[in-house]
Amino acid sequence: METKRDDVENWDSFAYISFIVAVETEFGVKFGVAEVESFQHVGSIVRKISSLLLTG
Amino acid sequence: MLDWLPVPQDFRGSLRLALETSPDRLEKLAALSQHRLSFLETIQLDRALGPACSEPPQGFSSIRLAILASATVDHLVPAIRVAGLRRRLLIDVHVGPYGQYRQQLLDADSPLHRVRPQIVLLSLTARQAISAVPVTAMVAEADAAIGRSIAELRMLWRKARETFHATVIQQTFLNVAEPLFGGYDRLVAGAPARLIAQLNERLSQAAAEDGVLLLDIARASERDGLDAWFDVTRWLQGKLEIAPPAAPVYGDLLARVIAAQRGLSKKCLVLDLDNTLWGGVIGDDGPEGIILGEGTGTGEAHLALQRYAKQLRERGVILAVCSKNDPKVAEAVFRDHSEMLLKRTDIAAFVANWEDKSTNLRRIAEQLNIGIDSLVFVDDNPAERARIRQSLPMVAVPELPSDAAEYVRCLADAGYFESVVFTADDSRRAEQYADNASREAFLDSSESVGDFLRGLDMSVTFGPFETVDLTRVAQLIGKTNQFNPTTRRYSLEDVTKFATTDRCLTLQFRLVDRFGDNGLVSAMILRPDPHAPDVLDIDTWVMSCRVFGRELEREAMNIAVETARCMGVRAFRADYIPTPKNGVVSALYPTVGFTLASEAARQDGVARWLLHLSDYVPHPTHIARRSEQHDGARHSEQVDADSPRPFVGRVHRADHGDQAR
Repeated sequence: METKRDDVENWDSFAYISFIVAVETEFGVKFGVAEVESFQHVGSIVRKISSLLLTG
Repeated sequence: MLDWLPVPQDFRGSLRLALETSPDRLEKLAALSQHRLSFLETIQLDRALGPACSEPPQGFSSIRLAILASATVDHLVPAIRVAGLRRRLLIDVHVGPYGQYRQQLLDADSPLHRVRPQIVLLSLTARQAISAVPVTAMVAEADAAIGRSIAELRMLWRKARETFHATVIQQTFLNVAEPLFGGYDRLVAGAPARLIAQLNERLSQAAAEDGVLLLDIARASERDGLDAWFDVTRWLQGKLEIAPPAAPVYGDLLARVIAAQRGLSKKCLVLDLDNTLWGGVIGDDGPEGIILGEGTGTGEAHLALQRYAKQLRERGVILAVCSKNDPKVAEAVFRDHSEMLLKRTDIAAFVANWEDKSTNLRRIAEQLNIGIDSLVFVDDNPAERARIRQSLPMVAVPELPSDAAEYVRCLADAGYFESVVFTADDSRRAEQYADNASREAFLDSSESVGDFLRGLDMSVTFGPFETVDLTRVAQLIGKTNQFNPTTRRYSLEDVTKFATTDRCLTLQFRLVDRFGDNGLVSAMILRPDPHAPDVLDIDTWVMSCRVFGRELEREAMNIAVETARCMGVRAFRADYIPTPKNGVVSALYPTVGFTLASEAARQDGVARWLLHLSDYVPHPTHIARRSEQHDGARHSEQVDADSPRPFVGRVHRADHGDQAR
């Protein structure tokens, strides 16, 4: 949950976009531009998805 | 999107299975690429595919593509490679650093120059081109700004061609501009939306003039809606102008253009009858019971498919019928039903029987003398489609929607017949294949092959490449796979160069017979050996499969030898480079008098053949020579008295429609 971008080897913008699209597809959500910028580590993404799923 | 492809049964399972099998892996991945894959699935398949190797395995070919972009395009690369794999092309993609396309192209030390791309794709956004034009700009000012952008593009195209000898593909500009005045935008010279539209208009003109190919995503975004192609969040996140979900379509659009340029587009549309060309079942419902024609929505939907097929025929696509029906009953509909738009004469191969359709598709390909992989099979029955995909994976089978109203759209979306050129010969081609059917019938009624050939009253027109025919010659070289001993592909520019190069001998051949004009059906490029100028190398020799078995190869060689003798040439050299498709010419050179060169018979199957012109004995043929183009003394006039050639002497140009220009 504390994993950051720098912790992952070969992490680049392509990997990031693929990752975001994968998460959005999996959970049927869409992140806004500010949200994506605010993601610091995996935990912050999980929290965002949880809140999006709860509020519908 | 990619709606014409079937949904994969179990993507992850199939991918795992492909990765576990090593010898057959590429074939399994290619099979998986024939499915409707999402952006993420495409990435996974591409990862399994791995980097392109320099030596492609049998049945595949490799291409080096460089993308010069002014936006992020890395996310498009997997989709491009997967769409290539779908056409058995292994594409090695080089992406230049973001936004540095000019430096990449102009700097001889840039990584791009080490890649030596065969294809250069310019993928640019319109932002830069229009940013400097104020909304208040007058027409002249707006036009001038667009003119400057186009001039710069043309400079880049020229540079890419001169430096790499590459095919250039230019992406059209996605019109992402928001309405500023609303509907009035179209009337304001400086309105961003109008500027981008003008840019695309001028771009198309310039591309046509320069022989540059277009990747028309502007059109695709009109088809799918701009939101499907452009997502402003992604643009702001990472300067992605193409939204990730559109990547699979983008890849397919690009791969189509590349495949078309390499002669890999489909050639023949094979149509089912019941519930495809008309509603209902002719065998059960009878001619009065089938639904076709104006008046009902269903009838018009089937009519629309006929109309589209007819239009495809007009642009050179061959039509065939493959149906489980009584042949007499099926043919009667074409002959007697007043609402039928397609006529029996539009169909070059008509197969109706009760055998399985894969046997019949093989028969159609054989009858038309085209590769079975150039067929598209349209059938409303999902079971028939699945069976053909299983037994003949090389045949394209669109996943027709259940609503007949959407048949045309599905077929059109699939882009099977993508073209990069359109010539006068194209519009006659489907007719010529139909003429061939008459020839077949004549062959059946002839006592012997000799009788048949004599009765055809064939005559050939020949000469060096003519300026007006260069496009057709380039097209023939680009798409001929069977009668093509070397399978070298040349652009229009290359062909033009050969036609004007000193000591280079080019020959084009047209064949006419009593059933019709076959058009320009063969071309030869002979290049001098730099070390022995009196030796000509048959760099390229192509012939349309429509005229196989007509002795044209013999007459063409007679003509080539006579012409070369006049130029003081001593010998011809020729290579046969085997491919999965050109087996038909593996023994071409020995049969026209060549002998195996001593140093030949290399491991890769390449055979080198030699002909000393002094040893050459002209082959008797049944083909007369109609007229001669350009400078005289091209070939001797005397004809061997023993030759069965019905020599008709020379016909003046004015008498000869082909030459009267």
